[in-house]
Amino acid sequence: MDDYIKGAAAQLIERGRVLTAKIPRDLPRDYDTLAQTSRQKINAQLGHLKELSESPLFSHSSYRAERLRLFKRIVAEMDILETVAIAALDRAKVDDHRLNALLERIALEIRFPLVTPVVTTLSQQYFHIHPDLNLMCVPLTEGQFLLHLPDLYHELAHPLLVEQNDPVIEPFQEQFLNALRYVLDYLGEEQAKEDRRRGPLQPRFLLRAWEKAWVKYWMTEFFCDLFATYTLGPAFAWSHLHLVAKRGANPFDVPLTNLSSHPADDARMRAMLRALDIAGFSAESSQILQRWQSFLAHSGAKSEPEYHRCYPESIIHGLAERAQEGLRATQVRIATRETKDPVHTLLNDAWKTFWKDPGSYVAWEKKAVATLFDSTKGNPS
Amino acid sequence: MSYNGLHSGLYARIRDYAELLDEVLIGLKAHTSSPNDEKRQKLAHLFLGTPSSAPSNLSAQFFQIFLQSEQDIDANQLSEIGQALRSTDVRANVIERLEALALTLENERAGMLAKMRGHG
Repeated sequence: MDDYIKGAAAQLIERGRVLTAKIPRDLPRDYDTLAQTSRQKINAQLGHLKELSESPLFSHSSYRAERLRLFKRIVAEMDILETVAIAALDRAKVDDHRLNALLERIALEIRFPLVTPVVTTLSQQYFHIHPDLNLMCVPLTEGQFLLHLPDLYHELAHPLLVEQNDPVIEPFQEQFLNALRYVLDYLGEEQAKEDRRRGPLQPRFLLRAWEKAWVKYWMTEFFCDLFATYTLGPAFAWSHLHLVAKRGANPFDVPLTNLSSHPADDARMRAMLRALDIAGFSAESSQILQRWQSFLAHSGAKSEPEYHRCYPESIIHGLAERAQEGLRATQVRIATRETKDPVHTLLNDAWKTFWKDPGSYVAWEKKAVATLFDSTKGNPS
Repeated sequence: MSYNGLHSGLYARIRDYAELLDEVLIGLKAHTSSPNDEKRQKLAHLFLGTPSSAPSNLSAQFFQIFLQSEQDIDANQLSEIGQALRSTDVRANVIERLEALALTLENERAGMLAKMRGHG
């Protein structure tokens, strides 16, 4: 294995050098942070590889396990850098540049407290973000349409939950933890009830699985949804309906066997609607609820008792309240009925126009998108 | 958000924990580490959690909650490991527990990456 790691490390070092050479030198300034992060991360991994090959410590049998784990992590990092970061830089084109300018405008409007992520249109899996690279990935043509763009706001929230040692965003993180403890306390009480009943093992197993899902995934998703709802307003909840109607599975899904990475779509919608009520958009919240119930009726989906146990109203409301409290203590701009920021207004108007006359929406959207990107050309980003 | 994206944030967190744990383990096994080492202090802090007087540390809190819910380690056990890392005498049984945790975190990291690539 010693020889293997030495040889493989040497090859990876060369691969890292080739990757660095692939970073384009003629991109707009929007990409500087990603280019710099990529360089630094590649260099860090090359340093680790040299240490693995050359340090006498690692030739000792006591450290074989650590060395192999370190080697695997370096390989994984190099893979992510190659397939995500360098690919985004290498293939950046006009569509990406336009979305970068748009995201910069959104960040300014909502007073986003961190460095604005770079956007790439290389996503093969809907919208997502790599907080580590500060890189947001969106589908290829998404910048030519408006109804899913509210998801940009959801993605912007992820880095806020990862950043460390920043007092400006700590109130939001504190409320995230507060909400997580609130849910874990609830699940602990439910677990205690089951223990007292001494009934079958399955409910206890379910509660344990839900606990893991809340900790690993669900709370993050809820908080990002709530960030998006509070900063954008009704358009985000509409876009959730749009996504679920087009691509969703059972909106009342509760994991019974495998760990589910996403909370139930209906629970997410309930949290968004509660947030809209809190933020003063009760009329819009009612309209969205009506459409959502119509969708649920069409889908034929029915909620089971487990669903209500997993996502009780008190928990959903508690999350919406805590997220708002956390955001209010940051400098982030929360949308109100008086908010007139241009991108905020356009994304909300898009949904109003869609429902007013769905048949003529496409023509309106084409013009609106052209106007939007014409206006972002002059953006100083 | 896609499965991929949701995992990338958690992935980075788990990877950083695994990295830190291995670095501290190497120092402990090589007897080149002291309780004042920055990384050892950082790891001890993760195991001990944030004192109520300190600013919120999401990473430390998440580490605690993650290990408790995912690995069935209770708060007392976490605290014991944290206290041991702050002492000059880290016994073999603590190193063994750290090694087991390092392996678990590595498996978690690799599994998560496989899912991000659509192999999970």
